[in-house]
Parts: sequence; C-alpha cells; structure tokens
Amino acid sequence: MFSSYFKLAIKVLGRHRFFTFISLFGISFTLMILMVTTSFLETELGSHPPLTEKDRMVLLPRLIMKSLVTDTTWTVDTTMLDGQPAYDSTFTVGKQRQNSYSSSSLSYSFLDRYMRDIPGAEAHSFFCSDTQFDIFINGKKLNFKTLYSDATYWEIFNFNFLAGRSFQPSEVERQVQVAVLSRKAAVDYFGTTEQVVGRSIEMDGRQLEVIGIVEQPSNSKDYVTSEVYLPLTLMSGSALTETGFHGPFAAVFLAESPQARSTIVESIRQKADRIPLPNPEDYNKLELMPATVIGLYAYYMMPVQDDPEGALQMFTLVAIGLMLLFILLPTLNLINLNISRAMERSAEIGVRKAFGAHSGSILAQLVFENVVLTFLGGILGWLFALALIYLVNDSQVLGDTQLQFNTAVFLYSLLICLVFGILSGLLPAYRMSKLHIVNAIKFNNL
Amino acid sequence: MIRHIFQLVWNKKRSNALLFLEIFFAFAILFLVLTWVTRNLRLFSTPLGFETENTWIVHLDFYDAEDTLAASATKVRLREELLALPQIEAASYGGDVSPFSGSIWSTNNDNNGFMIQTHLVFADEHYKDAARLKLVQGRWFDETDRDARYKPVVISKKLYDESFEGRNLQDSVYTIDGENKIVGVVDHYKYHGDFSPEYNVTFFYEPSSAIDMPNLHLLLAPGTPVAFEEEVNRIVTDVTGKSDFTIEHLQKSRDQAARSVWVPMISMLSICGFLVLNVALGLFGVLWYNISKRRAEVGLRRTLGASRTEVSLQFVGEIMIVSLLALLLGAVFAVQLPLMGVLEGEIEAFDYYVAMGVGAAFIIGLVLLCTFYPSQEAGRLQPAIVLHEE
Repeated sequence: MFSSYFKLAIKVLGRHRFFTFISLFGISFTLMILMVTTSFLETELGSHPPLTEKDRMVLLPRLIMKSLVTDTTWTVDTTMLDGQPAYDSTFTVGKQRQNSYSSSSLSYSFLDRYMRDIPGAEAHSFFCSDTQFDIFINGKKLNFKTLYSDATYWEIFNFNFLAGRSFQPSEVERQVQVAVLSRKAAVDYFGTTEQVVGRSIEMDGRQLEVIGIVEQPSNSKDYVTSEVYLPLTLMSGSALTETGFHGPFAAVFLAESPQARSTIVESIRQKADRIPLPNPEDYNKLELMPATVIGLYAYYMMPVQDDPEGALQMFTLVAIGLMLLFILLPTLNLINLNISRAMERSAEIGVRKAFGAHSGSILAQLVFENVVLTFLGGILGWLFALALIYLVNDSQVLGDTQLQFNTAVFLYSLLICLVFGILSGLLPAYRMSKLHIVNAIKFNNL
Repeated sequence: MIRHIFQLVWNKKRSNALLFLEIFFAFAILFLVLTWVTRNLRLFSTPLGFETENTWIVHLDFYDAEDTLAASATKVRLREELLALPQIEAASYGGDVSPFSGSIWSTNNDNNGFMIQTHLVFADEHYKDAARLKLVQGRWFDETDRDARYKPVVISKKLYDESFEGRNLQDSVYTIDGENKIVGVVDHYKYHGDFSPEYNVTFFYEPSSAIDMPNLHLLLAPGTPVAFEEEVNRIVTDVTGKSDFTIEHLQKSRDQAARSVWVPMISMLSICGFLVLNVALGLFGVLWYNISKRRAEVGLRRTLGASRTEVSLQFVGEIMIVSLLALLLGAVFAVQLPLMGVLEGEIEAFDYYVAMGVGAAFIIGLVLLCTFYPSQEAGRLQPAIVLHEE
C-alpha cells in the first residue's frame, strides 16, 4: 500500500513543478537552518573530548564580594512634657541595599585553603587560563594562550593525545620545565606534529620540553581551549602566594554521578557563608558561583548576573521560543499551500471514498505524501546544511568552534523532518478526508 | 467597493485565517529582528571617539613588583626609550580598564544633590595625544595635576549633558569618586566597541609612573611595517626584564568586537529574509491557485462591464485587507513593548517604532509585489473563454 502511495506522491510532485519548487524551497531551507542549529548545539554542549565527563563536572569560575548596607531612617519627635522639651526618636530599618560589588575569578591561595575537600567531589583541579604570550619565530608573531594547571586537570578532562603524555604530580611539584602543546600550536611553532615530543619551545624566557600534543577541543570553552598547557608551579611572580580572594584561577570538581553534582554545588554555596572576609569594612558578603558546564555556557550567553541556573532556564526558554517561532512560519506556509493543492485532488479523493475508502486511510495517504515531500526537502536541506557547515568552519566565523555533523545530529534531523512533515500535512489532510463525496466529485473542474 | 471586498474576505474566512496568521507571524518576527538591528545601527552611528588605527597596546603587569620605586622608574624609562623611536608618535600609560577588553569599573552617587552615574577610566597626561581624543571644553590633564589639591577628572560629553549641564565647572568641586575637579569634557568615548551603547565616562588622572597603570598605548606613524613589532617586543623585554606581556593591535580588537555583532546580525537578517521570501512564494502560489479557481467569477464580472483594472484591484484588495488586518493586530501587540518600556535603557522607543514602520512597509510592499502578477493575469482573462469553460 505504501509503495503505491509513494508512487502517487512522486507523480503529484511532478505535476505542478512551480508548487513543488515552492514547497521544497521552504522545507529544505527550514530544515537546513534547524540542522545547522542542532549541529551547533551538539558541538557546543555534547560530550566530546576533552569534555566526555561533562555531566559530572561542576566548575567554579567566579567569586563575588558584596557590601550590603541597610538603610536606616531616624525620626526625632519633639514634644513638650511638663514644660520641658522631650525627644522621642524612632527608626525604621529599610531594605538591604547593595553598595559595592566585585566579581572576578579566584586566587590560588583561596582555592588551596577552602576548596580542597568539597563533599561529593571525587577529584578537583585548579587552573588558570588567563595568560598569553607573544612569541616571535622567523619574523612571525605567534600569540599563545597558556593554561596553567595541576596534574589532576588531565584526569578530569579527557584530552585526545596525538603524541606523548601529560605532566605528572611530581613534575608539577618539582617545577619541571615541561609543556603540552595543542596541535595548532605545534604546527605553528615547529611546522609539524611529527616527532615534536622531546624538542623544546622557548617561552617566557625559558626552554620548555614538549612532552605531549593534544587535539584541539572542537568548541571554544576557555577552560579547555588553549595553545600551551603548563604546570601551574611555573607561573611567574606571586600568582600562587597572593593572599587576596580574587585572582586568575578557576576550579573544576568531578562528581561521582551527574546527580551528585547538586551536592557539590550546595556545599560550595554553604561554604561561602562560613568563610571570613579579609576586609569586612569594604565587603561583608561573599558568594561563590558554582556552575555546570551547560549552566556556565548559558551564563555567558544571557544577561543574568551571577546565576548560571537562572541563565540556563532563560536560555532554554529563549531557544525553544525562537525555534517555535522559526518553525511556525514555514509550517503555516506549507499548510496554506497544501490546502490549495489538495483541493485540486478532490475528484480523486471523492472517487476513492465512493469506492469505500475510510477517512482514516485518506488521511494517512495525504500525510504520507507530505512526509515524502518533507524527506525530499530534508535530503536537500541536509546537503545545504553540509555545505553551510563547511563554509562556517572554513571561514572560522565562530572562532575556534568547528561544527560537526555526526550520527546524533543526523538522527535529530530525521526526527525534525518527520515532525515537520506530519505537522504541516495533518490539517490539510484532515480537511480533505472530511470532504463529502458528492461535493468532492462535483468540484472536478480543473 | 470596500464593503464588497470585506464580504468576500469574510465568506472565505477559513482559508483567509491561515493567510492572516502567516502575515501576523511574519510581521512579529520581522519586528523583533528589525528592532534589534535598528538598535545596533543607532549605536553604530555615534563615533567611537578615539584612534584605533596604528595603535598598539602593550599589556604589562607590575603588580608583583617588590620594589615599586624601581618599577616606576622602569616604566618611565620604557616609555622614553620607545618614544625615541621615529616610528612611535605618542605613548601613554592607562589603567586596567582598556578599550574592548570588556572590563567595566563604574560608580554612582547622589552626594552632590544630583545623581551621577559613570564609568571610571584611568589615564595619564599623554593619553589625549595617544588616543587622539577630542575635547569640547576645558583641557586635558597636564604635569600640574600631579600635586592638585582635588583630583582632576575629565568627563565625557554624555555625562556632562546628563548631570552637569548648566552647572559651574570652573570653580566647583564635585564628588564623583572622592573630591574631584572637572577640568575638561571630551566629546565621545565608546570604549566597548562600535556597537556598544555610549556610557558616561570619567577619566581619572594617574601619572605614567603609577604601578596600577600597566597598559602602554603606542600610536605609530602611518605605514609602520608589522615587523616593527618584534623590535618593540625586544625593547620591552630588555627594559623591563619581563616576557609575560602581549602586544594588542587595537584595530583588530575593534574589528573583533564589531564582528561579534555583525555575524549574528547578518545571519539573523538572512534567516529573516528567507522566512519572508518563503511567505512571499507561498502567497504567490496560493493567490495564483485561488484565481484560477475563480475564473468564472472574473468572466462574469467582465461581461457585466467591470474593467481589467477593477478586476485586478479586487484581488489585490482582498489580500490587502487580510494583510492590513493582520498588521493591525501585530501593531497592537508590538506597540506594547515601547509603551511598557520593555528593556528600557537597552532598546529605545525609537527603535521599536522604526522597526514597526519598516516591518509593516516591507510586508505591504511584498504583498503588493506578490499579488501584482496573478491579479494582472486575472484582469487579462477573456470572458468568452472562461465562461465557455463553465
């Protein structure tokens, strides 16, 4: 039965080329945009190396100090009491008001002192992704972003090593002059990734031995993307001994399971209340901002202050809203077109009904035809999407982010096609299937 | 005539409802995107206020210096050595808040009896020349400010207009951050990028030698080769003994900041363009189909003496009425945003109204364009032929 429906669908498509073109144009373009968007979200938020354990991670990128003051209003009443003036003063405590505010990444000494034993955390790592170096080689300037970390960093983030290894705890402790390079950095500096391990790179006025090369993360998260990875003990100056709370560091904690993340988030928040502030006259309230990987992503996209969870809710809402609005218009358009086109076939439907076809099977046939059309459009859209992804990656419009088209995205796309096809086919098909036989046959004037 | 058309539209209310919805949503999407675009273009139209071409910033860091006096001397020596090069026209030290870095330091108070809300930027006496700032009143900082009794500040024209218009600047001391004397007014300083709103800015004076003025702005002679950067890098390394500094090309940062708005804006506009094209094609198809169904009706009208234009006008009129009604509903919703002041401060009422006007005009134009050809065709039908078919 479906094969005859299929043949019919193809025949109908060939009949009015112009209508078919309009429909296919709308479908393929809509699906292309949806596929590229899915691919973008999947690249940014999927579990790709080095973030394979992203659902177990809690990041601590920010520390906030506030000074909260309460407005107090004094009222003094003067009355005459026994010929003497008497004063009666009352005061009202107003709302708490934020006087000053300071938000930044954290210092190593703060993390070292307070964030070592967080309940629920299997592992933790402190790192600083704030430094850049200009290196001149053969008259060319290379700007290398440098990430300083401890050795557990490599256990939490699963980098894809092209060659060599990461640095060990003992190497961090002994300040061994070693470096892990990204593939791009190795190519920029040495011209190749072959046999680079063991050679040395000159940076920050010293010779560092290259011990490993890692594949570039496909997305642009500042806590994993870097050109050079160094042991944090190689940081210059007083970066590790500075006693203030603000500094260039961030922390990451690994929970036992995705559910256990909330324990970590809670304990970090609670801990903030118990830490005495170094300068209570300036700031009297300390807040820590723990965030999940996705929460932090939304936090950077949305104008929400210090609240990654709120930002994530807003992000989801905005994304779904935009998606719906975006799908709505082509769907309406397609419904409109489909109704017109289906009218044209009222005679055929009338005859089928006259020979005993149920409304249901008419409905199924028309929806099926629409799904076939959508899948045709889907294939076109898929080709367009591949081309667009290639262009986006090639032009580096998104910076370091390299969009991927993998099985997950493909399956999402199939689903999108199906939903779109059924959605835009249902109403016209329903209307046609309800047509009276007499009317249907009578209107056969085309 | 209009009443007849209304009657016709009402008779086919079911199929017109879809058309109505489609135009309504097309307007809604267009309105939202155009509001955002208008806002960006409005912000883009004010000048940046400082030089970015041929400007480099050396990002140094002296906070961990143990001997601050020696570090100060090094800073001054570095500036002098670089300034001695013929390629460098001006050099100035600035505070941590440097252009396009995204950092903000802001303060607000009403200690003067009126509200002051401003961003703080720290600059030395050479910054005016290095950034080619334009003063509209007073003067920039100079050597004498070092020992001034009240900390001298230069404010931006926007802050002047907002808080100091008509007030005496010459002899008054105002509380901005401590007690300050306003010595000058600069016309613009949009240091967050071309597409950023212009914030109120106050420049605070710090001498070049201060430790917390780590960013060295260099203005280069036009046509300086890129290779010169290596020489600057070498001199900075030699003088300061540091290697953990970077040299930023200000024009590049400006372009990057602007690109982060251009790219989403252009992709949104092209998505929008596609949606509208989609709607247009759909409209065209549906109209064509409808007219071919109503050939007999056209034939009858023509025999009864209607002219070609009248027949064409009827079809254009039908679609126009549906579209105008949809736009009217859209406008009723859209006008709520400026009336309720949604996102006030970020988006002005002006942006909403421009977007509404442009969006509506665009849709009307599009509808006219799509109905033009099919209704012309309808007008051209020969009564004898179409009535014969019937």
